[in-house]
Amino acid sequence: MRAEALKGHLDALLLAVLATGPAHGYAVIEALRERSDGAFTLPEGTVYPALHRLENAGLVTSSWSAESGRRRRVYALTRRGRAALERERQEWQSFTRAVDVVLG
Amino acid sequence: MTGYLDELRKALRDVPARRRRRILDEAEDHLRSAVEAGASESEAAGAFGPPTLIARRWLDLLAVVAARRAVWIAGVPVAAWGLLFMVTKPPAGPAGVVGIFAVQIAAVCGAVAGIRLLRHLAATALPAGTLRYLNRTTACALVASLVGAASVISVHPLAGVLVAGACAVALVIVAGAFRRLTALAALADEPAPDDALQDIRALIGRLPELGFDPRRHQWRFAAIVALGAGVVAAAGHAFLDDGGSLMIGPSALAAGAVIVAIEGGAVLASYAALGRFLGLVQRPR
Repeated sequence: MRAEALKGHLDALLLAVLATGPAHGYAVIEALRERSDGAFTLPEGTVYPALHRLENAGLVTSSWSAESGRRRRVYALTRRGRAALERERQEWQSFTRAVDVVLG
Repeated sequence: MTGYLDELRKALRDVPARRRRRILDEAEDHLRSAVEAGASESEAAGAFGPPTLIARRWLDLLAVVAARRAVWIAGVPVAAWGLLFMVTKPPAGPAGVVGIFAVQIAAVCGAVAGIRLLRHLAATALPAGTLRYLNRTTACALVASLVGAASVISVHPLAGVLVAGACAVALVIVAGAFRRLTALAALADEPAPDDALQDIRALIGRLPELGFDPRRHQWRFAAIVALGAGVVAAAGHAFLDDGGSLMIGPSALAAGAVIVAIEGGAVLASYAALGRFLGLVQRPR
């Protein structure tokens, strides 16, 4: 799927990935790719500004951790992020239901 | 990998140093992870994306943060100028007239910036047109407040200097937000930004019923606002002039009519001069 088509949904997808547990950027992108069966491919570097944006909005928190001698930034969902994800899920479900009805 | 990171560092030159370090640290960790997972260095760099695209995304994000912060910070000196105007007897002569104009321009600019900010408070990304609007209206409110505060320095030296100084500091912060926005490339294909009426409609659901479309009949709308402002100014003047008793006599009515005409004319003149700049006037869509 083209990166342009993902625009507007990326934040919700990242929140959904982080809902399964804290992860560093590379793991988040890998999870996104695996869970979409490779459908969601976008320039990987563009995911980091999105993660920072979610952090600025208080939906995600991050901290440095040392893993096998390497510093990694680990992201985790906040309570507000979980609530935002739930809202996004409900909006998406009502949107897709409406589209399904129209498309038949 | 080093070559790619150098290119990315160059592309991120407009990003503050501390943030740039964090971005580069995360990028390096990501590329190493990809190589450990079996990709070649060039494959990992290719999948990460062109450095200019990555930099563009970061500048988008930083421009939003800077514009929002500028509006919040500007609210303090603009409100301080409003308070100072209310508690100060305006100086006689041109300085008094400047103060009266300045407080109204600051109030309108501050209000439209605040409404736009509130409308997009929960948004995690904003189009460049909206950011430009926020920066522009905030700067306008600050310049008006600075000029207004300077106009009362003769009667309130300390407060005038303090408020004018605070406005100047906030203007430097707004200039930083403008700089972030200027660093963004390829803004020309942005859609036309919304106007102030659309902001109000988005916040309160619907506008009061006027019997006509304000966007289609802009001058009729401006005349109603001007008349309302004139009546409020005349009532305020009569109330203050009579020590709070609000006596209505022939001379008070005559003075009121003059004030309505002057205030209304000033509002219409300001609308003509600043309406498009502040997003209050826009062609019908």
